[in-house]
Amino acid sequence: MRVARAIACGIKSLYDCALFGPRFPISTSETSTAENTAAESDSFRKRYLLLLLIPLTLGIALAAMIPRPAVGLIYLRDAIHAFSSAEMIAQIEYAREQPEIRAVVLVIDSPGGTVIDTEAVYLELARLREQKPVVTMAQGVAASGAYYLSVGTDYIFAGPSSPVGNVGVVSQLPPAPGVFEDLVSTGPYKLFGSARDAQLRRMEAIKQAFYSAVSLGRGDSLQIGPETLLRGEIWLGGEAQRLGLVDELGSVSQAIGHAAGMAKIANYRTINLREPAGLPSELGFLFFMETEQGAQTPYPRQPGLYLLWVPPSEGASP
Amino acid sequence: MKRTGTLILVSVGLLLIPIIGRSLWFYRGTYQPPDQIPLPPFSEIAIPGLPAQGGEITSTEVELEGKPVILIDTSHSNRFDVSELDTLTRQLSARGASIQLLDSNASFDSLGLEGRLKFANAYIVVSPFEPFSAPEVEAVRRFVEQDGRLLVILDPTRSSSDSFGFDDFSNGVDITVANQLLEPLDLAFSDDYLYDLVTNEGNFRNVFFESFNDNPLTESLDTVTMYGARSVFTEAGTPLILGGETVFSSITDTGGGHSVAAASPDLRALALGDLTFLQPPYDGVTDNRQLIENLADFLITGVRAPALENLPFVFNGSVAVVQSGDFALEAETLSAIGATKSTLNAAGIELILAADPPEDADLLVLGLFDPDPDLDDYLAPLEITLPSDDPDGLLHVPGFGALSPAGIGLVGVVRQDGTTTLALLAEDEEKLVSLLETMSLNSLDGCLLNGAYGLCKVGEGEGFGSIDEFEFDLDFEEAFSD
Repeated sequence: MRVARAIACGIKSLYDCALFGPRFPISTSETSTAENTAAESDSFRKRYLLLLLIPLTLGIALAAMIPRPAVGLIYLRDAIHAFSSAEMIAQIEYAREQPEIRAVVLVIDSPGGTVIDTEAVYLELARLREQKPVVTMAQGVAASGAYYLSVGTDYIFAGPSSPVGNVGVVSQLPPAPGVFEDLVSTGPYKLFGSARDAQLRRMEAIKQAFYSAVSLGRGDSLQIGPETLLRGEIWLGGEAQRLGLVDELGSVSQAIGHAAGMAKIANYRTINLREPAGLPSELGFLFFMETEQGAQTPYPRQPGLYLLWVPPSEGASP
Repeated sequence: MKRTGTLILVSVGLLLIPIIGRSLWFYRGTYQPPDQIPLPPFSEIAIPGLPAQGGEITSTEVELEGKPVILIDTSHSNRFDVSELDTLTRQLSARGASIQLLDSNASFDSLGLEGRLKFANAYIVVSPFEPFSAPEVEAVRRFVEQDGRLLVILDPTRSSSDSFGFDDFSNGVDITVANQLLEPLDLAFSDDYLYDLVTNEGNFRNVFFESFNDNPLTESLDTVTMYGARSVFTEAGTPLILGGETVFSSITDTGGGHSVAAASPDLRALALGDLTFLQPPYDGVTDNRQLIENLADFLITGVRAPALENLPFVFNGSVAVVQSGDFALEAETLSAIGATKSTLNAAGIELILAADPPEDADLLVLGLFDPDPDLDDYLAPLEITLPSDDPDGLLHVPGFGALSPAGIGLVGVVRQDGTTTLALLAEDEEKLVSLLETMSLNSLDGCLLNGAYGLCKVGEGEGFGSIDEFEFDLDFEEAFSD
């Protein structure tokens, strides 16, 4: 208290000095009393205005330092693979570190991707949600791994006809173990990773984790049980809303508005987080196989475990 | 001094107004994140265990007649490898069966399906993609009719051709081809696969079946597991292995009553919707091994009813020649017997010339229409009436009716007590030799065959033109009237 009182007295002294001038005698021989009075009054007004401008200016300056809040946009317009997931994670980290980013909207148009990359992004989204609301906008396809990411956010919008769902895992089984003359290894599965049957069972565990993520993410909203959900169906946005797979039908701007509402911000701006996160413009990554004619197929190039929707594609067999 | 205090308050206000104003302009509250972001219990999610192994196997003693021949089809672009049937074929071999492959590309396989079926006890077809010809379908139908065993196996995973297994999924060619064979037998595969999302063996397409209809094929079974299986439909036959309420068909996405195996009404043909369960390690899961044993028993118990169209493959093993006492073995006769011996040897059948034939040997009886007490015992099972026993001097043959014996050679075959008797009868020795030659040279081509009996025109006579009546309903009238 003493310190505060001393500071207050100090400020008061400063004000007194600024308003009434220094505390030393003014020669009466130099000016007349009237003139002195008028001059003092004018000086007092100027000092008064100056003293009002200073805090105002300071206040404005300080106010200007309060950042305008922003809703960050993270776009996923590709399969979820090593590159796209790394880019998403960089943007999520940027959003987490930047205080002005008060909410994030994940704009999705993806058939999913690899299990490990999907899970990596899912876990980063969970960390982001500990600080800021995250809303999904299923603008295009939000299938399989992309839906996995969606249920890891706070609210899901979907377009009326956006394909949503496809809960499950796909994989190409490894070849049956064999031995070779020149290619040798130290164990029966060193070359193949696992037995075919073991891979099938691992898929089942991944599927259960996926279902658990959906169940936790959707909670009581989910209107269907595992026997329906795990059939791996694709639902259009309207159906998905009715079944509780998404919260609302809408657009990107609605998703942004909802995210801002959750973050309790107004007059915000939107930022595509790609550039601020230091990422180059979107580059194509050869995730899918291509036909000899150069057409893209829905089949991934590498064998592995995928949370991926592989829609029928006549004539696009690898 | 009072003014100074006011001034300070105003200044502080001026300082704060922009800050508060901007703050309120942008921020309307503080976001309260959830107390906890729930995550799936990744470390607690258990990977489904290895397949449960089946219990003790119950083997059934099966009495075999001869060495059963199991013919496996590889001639219809079958999408499987014979080694995938190893577990089954080992069981068949252990039961004394001979496994043979039908390969249309092999130069030695000139007999074709119809020829090979003549001496097969069972015919196995797996995932055929090349259509069967109409004669082949008819041959298979007759084969089953004559108590041959037919096993048709499809597997929905064999319907797709590309490595990832999606774009060519379930094109159904194999179903069309298999159903060609099965529809005359009241069996049909559905273009689907069965799945169970509730209770399964590690994957939704690995389905447990716990409901069985009584049949030797389902003996000692409590649970069998199929790994991607088609359902099978039958109208009057027997669905053998049935799924529960949670076993769904991919066509209807409805459950209950889907059968993965069904037998034809006569229980001689079996349609089975999965191949994978026959292979390690899946053959040892639940009671799959028992099912495989039962399948082997089913296949080897196909004891073909002898039919002349299958000559020379009506015999089980060695064949002894028995001739009428009135029938002298002259040079021409011996020559004809020699030719017959060559024909039989080519088919792996030994011909024995002995005064006292072994008891378990099949018999080739050579006789005349004249009564011969020595042959009565052999001919009695044929149920023919010789001209000497008929007041009108006519020959009575089941299925053919009464015939004038002139110019006729009669061939009859019957199986009794595990041995086959093939009888050749004619009016006289010369015609009997002619009949024997006909049989040895061209397997009765040109003769009229009706199941176990055949009539051949030998020498001169009225036989074919003097049939009084027919008991069989075949359109041979024109042929006889010529």
